[in-house]
Amino acid sequence: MIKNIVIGGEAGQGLKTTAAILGKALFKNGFNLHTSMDFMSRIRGGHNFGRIRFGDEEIRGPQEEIDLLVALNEETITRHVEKLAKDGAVLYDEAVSAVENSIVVPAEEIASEVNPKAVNTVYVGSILKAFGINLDCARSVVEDYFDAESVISDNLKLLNRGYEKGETIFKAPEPKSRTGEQIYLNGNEATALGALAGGINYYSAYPMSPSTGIMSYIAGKQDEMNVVVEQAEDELAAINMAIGASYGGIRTMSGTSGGGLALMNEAIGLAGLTETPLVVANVQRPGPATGLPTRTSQGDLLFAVNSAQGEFPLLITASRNQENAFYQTFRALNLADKYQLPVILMSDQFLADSSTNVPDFELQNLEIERNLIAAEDMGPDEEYRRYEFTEDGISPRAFPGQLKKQTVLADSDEHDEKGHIVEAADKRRRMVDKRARKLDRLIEDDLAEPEYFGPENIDYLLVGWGSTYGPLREAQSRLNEEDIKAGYLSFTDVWPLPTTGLEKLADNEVELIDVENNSQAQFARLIRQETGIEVEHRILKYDGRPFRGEEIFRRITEEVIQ
Amino acid sequence: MSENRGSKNKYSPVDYETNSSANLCPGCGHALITRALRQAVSELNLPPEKLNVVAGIGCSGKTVAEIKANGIHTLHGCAAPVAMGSQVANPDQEHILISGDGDSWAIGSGKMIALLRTNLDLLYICENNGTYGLTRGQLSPTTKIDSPTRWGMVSDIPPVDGIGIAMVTGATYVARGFSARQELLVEQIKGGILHDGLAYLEVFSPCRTFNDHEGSHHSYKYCQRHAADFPKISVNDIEADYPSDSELEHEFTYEEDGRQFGLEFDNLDEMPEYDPTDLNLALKTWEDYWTEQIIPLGLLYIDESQKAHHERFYSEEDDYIATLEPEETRPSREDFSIILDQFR
Ligand SMILES: Cc1ncc(C[n+]2csc(CCOP(=O)(O)OP(=O)(O)O)c2C)c(N)n1
Ligand code: SF4
Ligand SMILES: [Mg+2]
Repeated sequence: MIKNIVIGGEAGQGLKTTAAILGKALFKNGFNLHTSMDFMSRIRGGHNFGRIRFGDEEIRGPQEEIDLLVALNEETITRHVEKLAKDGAVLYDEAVSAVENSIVVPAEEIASEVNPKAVNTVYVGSILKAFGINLDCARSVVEDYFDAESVISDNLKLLNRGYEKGETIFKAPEPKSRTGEQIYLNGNEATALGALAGGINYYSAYPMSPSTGIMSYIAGKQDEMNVVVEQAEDELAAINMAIGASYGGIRTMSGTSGGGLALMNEAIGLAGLTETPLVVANVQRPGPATGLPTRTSQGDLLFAVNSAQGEFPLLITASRNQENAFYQTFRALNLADKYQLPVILMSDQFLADSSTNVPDFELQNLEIERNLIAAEDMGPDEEYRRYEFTEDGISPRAFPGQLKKQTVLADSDEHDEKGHIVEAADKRRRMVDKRARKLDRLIEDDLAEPEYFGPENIDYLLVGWGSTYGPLREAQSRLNEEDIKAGYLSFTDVWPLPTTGLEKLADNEVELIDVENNSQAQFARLIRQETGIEVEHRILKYDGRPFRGEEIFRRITEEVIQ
Repeated sequence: MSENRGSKNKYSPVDYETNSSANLCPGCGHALITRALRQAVSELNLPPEKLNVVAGIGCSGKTVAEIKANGIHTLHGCAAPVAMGSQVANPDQEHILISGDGDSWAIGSGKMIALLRTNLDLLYICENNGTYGLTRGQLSPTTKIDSPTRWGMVSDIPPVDGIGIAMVTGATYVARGFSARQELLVEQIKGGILHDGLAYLEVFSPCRTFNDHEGSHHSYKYCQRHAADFPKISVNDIEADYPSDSELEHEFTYEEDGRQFGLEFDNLDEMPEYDPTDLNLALKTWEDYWTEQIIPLGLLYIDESQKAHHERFYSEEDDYIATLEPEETRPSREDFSIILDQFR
């Protein structure tokens, strides 16, 4: 059983706190859950809401139909009531005549007697009561969440009051249905943790929604984790600082959103030409220009693929969900070092700001590989060459000061093996070829083929990349339930595009359906460019909102299968 | 540069030469700066592997090719942030940033302000020729109003005052040099390297090909005519350069490679009211010169009391990240597991 709660109100009403406490409490009760946020780009007013879906079955994304609508203001009711399930309920501070199940909790009045600022905790109490879930876990969350004793005690009081005033309407899903150790976190936190586990010592960025969460999380861990976080004056500086630190021999990362990636473009080429390892997280939001700052999109794919002027090896990989974001980040750092190239790590607001439960991260199989030259690899009188020609194009890498009596020269002009500027035609050609060979090697040894989900024989093949994974898995299961033979191919590495898996599945009998959060079917275009395969159907969404599984299912049945 | 100095040194200027060329025009001021730089680092006895040259784009930045050292040639206007990153990784290396007037004060102006605020421990050499040499002689942000380019273009907006900006924004060693005054330049570079903090050294460095013509305010001739040697400094190895019985009068002393160096002002007595550690006075004096079109050459301002940038992150030299063993730079599984607790 899965239940869907929507909590709505205006900016400044503390929705984030409510969702955070409730989400964590449900998590601690042992449910699976997925929490996503729909926020306007403003500090006060407007309409914001959070969706929390929880239950004893696997949950991969948000859902449209609402079981419990929690309204912090009247607008929430008018906006969402039509999505209320038949037996759904509304929780508000007065009776709502239009719906059958109306839970009345005068939260502000209750809070004003204790602490008006803690009004949200009243809702948490009443919501848990609506499902008959006891308060034990919520209490411990409140104790962890706040610092001051008096604030904790006020919140605990109001949690109880909310519980007492509420009423139980629903049967709760089975608690403790999860197995194994789990954690509950959002995509930005998972990315930040992947970076820390990957041993970064430097993170430079400029705040830009929805990527800022990565920086703020790492900044809070600077001392514990031995990381220097530099808030640069802009993204141009941020990426160049990261390049400087990486050239200096330490693991670094930067992160931004589309506008920042645009400013970073020239320097992505600098990392490419100087062969300086660099990972940049691009947490997409709808562009161009300022676009929709707090919403979601997959509109930067071809922009990222075509990063910077000129030609150089570049890896673009996308995280498919919170769990994957951790491992992808770790891997991106290793691959950047191994192949000495820039890696763009794609995420988006939907993944970044949504929280879910994931299996505890498995650290024992993770190995940091810096791929630096060892002192023994140098001959006694050998002079170090930063760009030494090798069979696979990967030159032994040293950083300044690493090798005794050797200097390291990196150059953004075309250069020879030692890093000195050259212009001779044959030398230029050899260097271009050398850099290109690195990518050939990467494709051979490390490029991740997409993962396939679905039955062996199919009529339809859904293709998607990155964070649409959750909704697409749900849609694919729904299709299979309806006896529609559909499979789903989930890409994480998108550039260079892995083609083997796709080419195997995309035979003449199968109809391909591209599902993307953009208006120009960029991934379908990339597939055609790289394989010649024409994806005939497109399910596109570009209103700044994430897909929901049932929405994809419905659109496929309406637009494709008919 | 007295004769006896070289004798104590393991390195001579030749040791910093490369077999690569920046292909500058004959007589280019930038080449003279490179020469002074090699002389200066040899006098400080700095091994090439301890030097780290971060270069911008322009004829100026190209000179990185002619200096045997670690180095990275970056993007136009972006050397400052690259140096910041590199310096945090390796604060024990002597970072020298080489940039042009356009690279610093046009495309790099925003980066410049951000860098000056940090008091990063590096020597910033702005090779100012009042034009864009590499792109063949356009107006630059430092071109003076009444100084037409070789192609006859005249700037109708006042030039950027790099020295003034550096002083008010946070540089803690601000000096003005001239390519053709090699002796002083060597001292200024040595002082800037030894200084613990951000040293901004703007060098009047004529472009022979595009901005050395009659009427230019950036020519060798113009600078010779308008230069005033003040306040001059010298930087000496205390043990090697002074007889043991001499009375030492160093304004500042530094240690490098186990040797003691002293920085002293040579001609402050000509202007007794000047105090190069007084920011307001230095600024006012500079602005007076600036409007009178006199080019003072020397160390205009110094403040050794500020913390250098990396000292905010590192309490001890042993902590410099790039010098640590890999295990020390990463979280242990146990530490990492502790931070995961927050999500449990
Ligand atoms: C982004 C970018 N824009 C423009 C250029 C072209 N460019 C190269 S050097 C330069 C100006 C250099 O002038 P300056 O910094 O004064 O150096 P100089 O050559 O005079 O030493 C320009 C405009 C470039 N390389 N990159
Ligand atoms: S163009 Fe000017 S700045 Fe460039 S090398 Fe020639 S003289 Fe020097
Ligand atoms: Mg210039």
